[in-house]
Amino acid sequence: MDRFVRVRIVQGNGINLSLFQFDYDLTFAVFFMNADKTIYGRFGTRTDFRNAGKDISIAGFKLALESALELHKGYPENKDILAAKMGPEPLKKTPEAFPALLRYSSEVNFNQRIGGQCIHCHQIGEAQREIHWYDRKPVPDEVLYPFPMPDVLGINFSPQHRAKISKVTPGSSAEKDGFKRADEIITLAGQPIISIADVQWVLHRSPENTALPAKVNRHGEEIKLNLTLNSGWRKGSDISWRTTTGELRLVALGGMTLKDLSETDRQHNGIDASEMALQVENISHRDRRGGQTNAQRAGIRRGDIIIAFGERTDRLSESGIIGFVLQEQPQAKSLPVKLLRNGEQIQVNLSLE
Amino acid sequence: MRIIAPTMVLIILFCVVILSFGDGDREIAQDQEMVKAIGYWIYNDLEKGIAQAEKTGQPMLVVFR
Repeated sequence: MDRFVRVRIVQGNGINLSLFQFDYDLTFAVFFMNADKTIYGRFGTRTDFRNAGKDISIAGFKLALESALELHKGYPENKDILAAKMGPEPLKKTPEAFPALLRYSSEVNFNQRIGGQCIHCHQIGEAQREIHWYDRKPVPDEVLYPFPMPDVLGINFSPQHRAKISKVTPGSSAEKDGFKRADEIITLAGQPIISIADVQWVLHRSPENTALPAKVNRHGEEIKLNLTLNSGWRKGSDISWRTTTGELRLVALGGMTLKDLSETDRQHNGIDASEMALQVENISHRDRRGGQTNAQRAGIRRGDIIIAFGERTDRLSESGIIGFVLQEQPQAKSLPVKLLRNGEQIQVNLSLE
Repeated sequence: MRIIAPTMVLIILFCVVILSFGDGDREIAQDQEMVKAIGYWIYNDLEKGIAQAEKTGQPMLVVFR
């Protein structure tokens, strides 16, 4: 670390969103870059709300640091392969330009009371989504499912390494593509990969129905593979752990937190594995304005099992239902919801106002 | 009584301080003080970091935390 100029940013006010595009649900996000703002790589991955450190390690961070130093040594000859590490022009250049964050200033005055002045990173993510759902427009995939984890394609990485595969899910698209356990991804879509976050960045920027060329180190030998991104590949992403999903639960689920019913409980309730069965795990006490939530108003209770949401009765996760509402039903003012309570079917109308 | 009155005043003062600064504020102030005192990080000043990287030719490590 001594070989870097080390900067710590503690709030989001005024940050340059053309440059700093990262997963805003992280509690620890790192950019390795040149003074001319060329990005060498990112570090920081998270898939768990309570345990934010589960997917990162000191060993992985050290390897990312070493790789960034190597890229810096090869700069500017390698400038072209680093170009795509920078994102496109964002909707708004700074966080406080988003409608949801207009009350914030571009600078924090540390000599005054700080509470209420700072823009938290997750608020940037929320503001990016709000600009769509507030106007009842479909929230784009890359905004609703940002920085997808590669497990959505069937790849799990070891946090102890740069981008070394710890598991390939049998039957997954990644397995069909030929990826194997212990493969280390060196480049993806032409970009040098120095961390799991770098893989997520490439995925974040990739469309559907495409194949990303990958250079892979397999037991010391470099091989070439393609990572296939099928139609709708992002929609399998789990966003339930995200802080930003709290707001989406209020907007799309009336304040409910939903959990897919276990196989045993499905059997007990006579629900097939292909059918919807989401248990209401929790209901927020207040909506965004401090009033009753829409789920409370509809009479939904904790423990109820949702078996139909709108016209959907297929097996969807909580993330899938949020996607269904915000992408397929953005204009809906309410949706019928069918519940199972003590073995009895009940239908309620969930307001989405 | 002689002990209770000053103690009450101290408790009230403590509460006033807590309410006026808040836990988050205190944590941020302490964190800022500590980071600046150690001097290992440039605190919340990207432009200063860029200027230093330009001058030294070193790469930058920018942490959002």
